[in-house]
Amino acid sequence: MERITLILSDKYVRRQAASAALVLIAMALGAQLIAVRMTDSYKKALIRHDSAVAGYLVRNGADRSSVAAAFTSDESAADVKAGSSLLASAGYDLNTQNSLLPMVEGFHRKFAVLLLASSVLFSAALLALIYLGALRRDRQLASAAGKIQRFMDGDTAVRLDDCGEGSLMRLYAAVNLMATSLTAHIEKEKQNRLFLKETISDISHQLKTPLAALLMYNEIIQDEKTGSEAALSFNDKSRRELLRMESLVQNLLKLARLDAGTIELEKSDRSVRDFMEKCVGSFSTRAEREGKILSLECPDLLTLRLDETWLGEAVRNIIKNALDHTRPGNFVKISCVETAVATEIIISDNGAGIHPDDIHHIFKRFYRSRLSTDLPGLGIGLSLSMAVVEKHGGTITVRSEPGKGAEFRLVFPKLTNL
Amino acid sequence: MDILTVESLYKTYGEGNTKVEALINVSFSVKKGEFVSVIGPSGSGKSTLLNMIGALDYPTSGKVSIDGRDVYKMKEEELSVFRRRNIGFIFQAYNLVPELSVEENIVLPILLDYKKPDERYIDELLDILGLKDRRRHLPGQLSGGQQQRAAIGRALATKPAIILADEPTGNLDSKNSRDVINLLKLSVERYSQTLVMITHNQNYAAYADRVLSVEDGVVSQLGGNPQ
Repeated sequence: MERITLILSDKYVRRQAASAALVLIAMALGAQLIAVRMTDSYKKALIRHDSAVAGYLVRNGADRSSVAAAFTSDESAADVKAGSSLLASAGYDLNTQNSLLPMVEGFHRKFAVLLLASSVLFSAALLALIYLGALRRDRQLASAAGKIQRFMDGDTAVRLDDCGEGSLMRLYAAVNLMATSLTAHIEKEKQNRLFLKETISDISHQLKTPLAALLMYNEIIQDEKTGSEAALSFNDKSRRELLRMESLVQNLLKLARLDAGTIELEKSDRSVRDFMEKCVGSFSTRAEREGKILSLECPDLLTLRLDETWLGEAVRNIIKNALDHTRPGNFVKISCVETAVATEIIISDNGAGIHPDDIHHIFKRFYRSRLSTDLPGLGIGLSLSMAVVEKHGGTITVRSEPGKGAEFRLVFPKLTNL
Repeated sequence: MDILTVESLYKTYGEGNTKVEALINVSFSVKKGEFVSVIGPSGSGKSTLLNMIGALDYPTSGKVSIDGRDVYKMKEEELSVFRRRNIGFIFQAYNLVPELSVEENIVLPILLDYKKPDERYIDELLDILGLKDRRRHLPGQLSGGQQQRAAIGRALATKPAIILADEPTGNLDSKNSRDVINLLKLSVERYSQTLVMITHNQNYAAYADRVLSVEDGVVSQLGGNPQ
C-alpha cells in the first residue's frame, strides 16, 4: 500500500493511471451498450420470425386461437422435441448453415463489425496512452542526460529540475546532491593543489638567496688557502653539496611552475639534429673525463615542434641520468628515429640498468631507489623530464634489464599526420 | 562553490507614507560548508532577509539562487518540495509538532518525501544531539535546550543544501545557548553543512566563518576570514 502511494505521488503517473482507468470504464460501458443493442436486435428478429410463422399457419387454415396460444403459452420439453424432429426432417436444425438463414447471418455480421470497431477503438486509446506516457518519460530522461553531460563538460552550476513529487524527482534530487558535493570537493582539491604549489615555489624562492650566499662564502673560504689538507677537502665536499642543493631548488621551482601551468612553452619547428647536438655537446667533456663513449645518431631532415630550453632540460636530465649509472668503458648511445606516427629520441646505455622493483616508480617525484643510494641524484630529474615531455604532447617509455643497461624512449606522436 | 547567491535584493512594505524599506540592495554569496552569521539590532531586517532566502516571502525585486536554482522562478508547489529537500529551518520557537515524539519529529521531513529514514544516520544524529534516551519523549516533556536540539536534528535530517537558523538561541539561557551553537558549529564541520544563522548576540557571531551585519536594511560584511 505504501509502495502504491509512493508511486502515485508522481503527478504524471497519477494522471496516466487516471486516464487508463477512464478508458477502461468507457470500455465496460460500451460493452453494456452493445449488449442492450444485441438484446433489442434479437427481440425484433424473434418477434418478426414468430409473426411470419403465425401468419403462415393461419393462412393455411390453422385455428387462430390455438396458433396465438402456441406463441403465448409456456413451452414444454416434449413440444420442443416433437417440433425439432419435425423441422429436422425438413433440413432446418442447428446444423443448417448460417448463410442459408439470412436473419442469423445479418445479426452476426452487424455485431461482428460493431465489436471489432469498438475493440479497435479502445485498444488504440490505451496504446496511445502508454505511448504518450513513455514519450514523456523519455523526454524527461533525455533532458536529464543532457544536463548531466553539460555538468560533465564543466558547467558545474547546472542542476536537474527536482522540484516535484515521485521517484524520478527524488532520484534527480539525489543526483543534484551528488553534483553539489562533487563540485565542492573538486574546488577544495584545486585549492589544496594550488596551495601546495605555491608553498613549494615560496620555499624554493626563499632558499635561493641563502644558498647563493653560502656558495659565495664557500668560495671565499677556498680562496683563503689555509694550507690544511682536511679543511680543503671538507670545503670541496661542502661546495659539492651546496651545488647539489642549488640544482634541487632550481628543479623544484621548475616543476612547481610546470605544474601550476604558469609557463607557456615557446614551441617552434626545429631541426632535431641541431637540438640534440647542443644537448649532447654539453656532456662531451664529462663523458671524456669519465671514460664513457657518448654517441649521437640523428638523420638530417628530422624536425620537431619543441621548446628548446625546456625540452633541452628534459633530454639533458635523461643523458645525465644515463652517465650517472654507467661505468668507465660503457657507452651512452643517443639516436633519433622517425616512424610513420611518431618522432622518437632514444637514449640507451649498457650501464647498471634499472631494477625491476624500481622501474614503475622512476618517474615519481623524490623516488630514490634503495639500490642506488650511493649515487648522486635527487629523484626529481626524471619526473621533471616526464612533465616537460608530456607538455610537448609526448610520453617517455623505459625498458631495462638489470646489469645490461637501460633504454629511454621519448615518443612524440605526429598528431597532424594522423 | 557558491551554494547561495543573493543578488540586489529589495523588500519594501507598505506604500506612500507608511512605506518601509526592509532590505536595500542586498547582495552576497555563501560557499558550501560555510557558517555565516547575520547580526543586527531588532527591526533591522535580519528576519526579513532570512525569510527571503528561505523563499518564505517574496522580495520586491532581486534574485536568490540556492545551489544554482532561482527560487523565485518556481511555482508554489515546486517551491514547497524544493524547500523540503534543500533548506533546513531552525526557528526561535522550535516549531516542533507537539503530538510527535522527538524521533518522529526528526524523521518527519524525510517521511514527507516518501523516503525511508536511514536508521544509522538518525541514531548518529540523536547521539550527537544528546537525545538518545529521549527519543520517545514528546516535545512538551523536554527542556527548551533539548527542544531546540531536536529542531536542529530535524533540520539536519534531510541533509539539506543550506540550513537557515533564525535566532536559534533566542529562548535559551547562556549554557544551553552555548551548547546549541557548539552543535551547529559541529554539524557544519561534520556534515559539510552550510549554515546561515541570525543572532543578536555578538559572542555567538564569532563562531562563524563570516559575519554579515544588517543595519536599516543594508547588509555589510564584518571582518571574518575571507575564503
